[in-house]
Amino acid sequence: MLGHCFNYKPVGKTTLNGIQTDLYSFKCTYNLAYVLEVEHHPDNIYIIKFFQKNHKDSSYRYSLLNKKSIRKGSSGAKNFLIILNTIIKVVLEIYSKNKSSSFGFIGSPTKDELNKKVNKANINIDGTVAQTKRFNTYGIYVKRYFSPEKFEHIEISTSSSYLIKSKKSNLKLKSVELFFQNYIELYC
Amino acid sequence: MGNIIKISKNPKTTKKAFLSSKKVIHKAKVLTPSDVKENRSMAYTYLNL
Repeated sequence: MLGHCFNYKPVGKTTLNGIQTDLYSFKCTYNLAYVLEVEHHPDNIYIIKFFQKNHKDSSYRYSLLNKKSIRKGSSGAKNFLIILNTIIKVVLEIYSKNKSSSFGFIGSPTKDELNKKVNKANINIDGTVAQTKRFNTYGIYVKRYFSPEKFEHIEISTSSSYLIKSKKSNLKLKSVELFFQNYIELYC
Repeated sequence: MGNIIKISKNPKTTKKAFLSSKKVIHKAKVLTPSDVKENRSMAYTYLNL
């Protein structure tokens, strides 16, 4: 069962880079507002993205981390877990309306992971980063909750991409690879 | 006079154009049910969907 969640609300729909996107908003333990973007792609693929509203104008908005001063000395792990629970609640809302829905994410690299001096081995020439911390963390998180009986878990570790594919979806593995390939080329 | 070549002064655009010309083949892997089970904490139960 899913743990505690923040109260979230839909705040509209928009089209970002030609992709229909639903927007949601919620506030975390530290009273910081977050924006959740749910992109609608063909074949019932939904790409999930979120960022702190304060960072909305930054091109690194998916990569930035909270400062220690914001976390008030705590690790921030509990707050982070509740953020993920909140996002999953939105995912479940979509899935309950369409059982063929599949959900994907790309674990954005932190600024350190983007630094060639410290992470050269994992930075690809197309700008993607392999096995980011977020990819690993979100991967562990979704494995907790999404049963392999109802979902196929598909990892593309070299680009830190992940798809939880509904078993009712007709998507083939090649199409998933092609989807993320195009996504990276067009939108990352 | 020769042709005027427009060069983007936006370094981000230039970088993106450069990066997108470099293709990397990213291979997907379907995890087996045991892969999923091995990488999760048993303290959690799957969502009842």
